[in-house]
Amino acid sequence: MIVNDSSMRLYVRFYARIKEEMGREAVNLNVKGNAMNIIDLLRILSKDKKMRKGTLIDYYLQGKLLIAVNEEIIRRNEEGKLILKDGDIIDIMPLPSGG
Amino acid sequence: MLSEGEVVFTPEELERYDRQIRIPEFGIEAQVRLKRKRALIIGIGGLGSIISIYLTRAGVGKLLLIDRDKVSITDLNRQILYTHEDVGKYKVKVAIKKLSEMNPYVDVDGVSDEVNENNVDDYVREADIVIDGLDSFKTRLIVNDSCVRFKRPFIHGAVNGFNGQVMTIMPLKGPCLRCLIPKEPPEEKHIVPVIGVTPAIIGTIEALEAIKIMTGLGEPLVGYLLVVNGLHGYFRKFKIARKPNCPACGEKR
Ligand SMILES: [Zn+2]
Repeated sequence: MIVNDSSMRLYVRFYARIKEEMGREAVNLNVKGNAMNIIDLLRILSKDKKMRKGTLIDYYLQGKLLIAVNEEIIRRNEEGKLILKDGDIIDIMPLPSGG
Repeated sequence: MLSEGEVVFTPEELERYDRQIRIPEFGIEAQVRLKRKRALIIGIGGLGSIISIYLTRAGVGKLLLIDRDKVSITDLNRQILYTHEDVGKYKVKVAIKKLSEMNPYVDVDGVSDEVNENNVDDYVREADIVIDGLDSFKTRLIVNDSCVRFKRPFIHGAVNGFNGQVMTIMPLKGPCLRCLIPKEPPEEKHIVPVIGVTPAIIGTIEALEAIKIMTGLGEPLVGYLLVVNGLHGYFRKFKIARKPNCPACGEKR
């Protein structure tokens, strides 16, 4: 989908409702630039696909996502601090709140 | 206090727990430990129904339930403690009656109350373990902070649709809920959709975690978030790190 000449490759997996709405289970990304964080990634994915109630970045801002990088959950509100690197696997999940 | 003094079982009571006492890892020792414990379940909806039923049947010593709500007909697809004729009654009142019938050897008590910053410590202080049956992160974080203050194990669970999550918190030994979610996310504006099997799965795992902590058996989900999706059929464990800057359990608390 988004192809560039640079070297950073990211593998992004979608879960549950996010997977349904993105219409795919996972995506391989080749991205340019060297200082990309998770919010940048969500913006890139948001350009590609509009979901039922907005975009991935909207879902993130509404507190509806839980994100893991290489099997470790990234603390909410710190998604902008972590710089992604080549080969990272990113999991994007909905955050459930009901009981 | 239940956690002091000798634990006595009647012969009938031992028979009631026979099948679990026969589990080699469990035995009479775990049954004794369970009977010494007081468990606090906050919220007795979809998750709380399941958690309270299994802890009652397993033979926890004392169970305290807190929920401010009355039973509504929209609860009945998932809140299996309640039936059609309970609509309009206080959940706590119905739950105490039904759970006591399930196992008269458990001391079941409850309060129709809303947990907030002012009363949370009074409830948490008296408990050996706290289990999440809540439906908002605002209240979950209030409970989390109190559990960290009093060093009480806290089992977190949440559901939506076909998916849910579980995390076991051992304060100061592993990450707490604020290590994961430092501030409450914006309040959910819409009704959370859910099918009964989801809180059944998540609530059962919460009850299992509670039993593990109370008996000292196995390896609880400390430092992990278990993510479950029923529709796609997966259970996945993600790591969670304890945050030194956590406002609840961090260095500057
Ligand atoms: Zn913490």
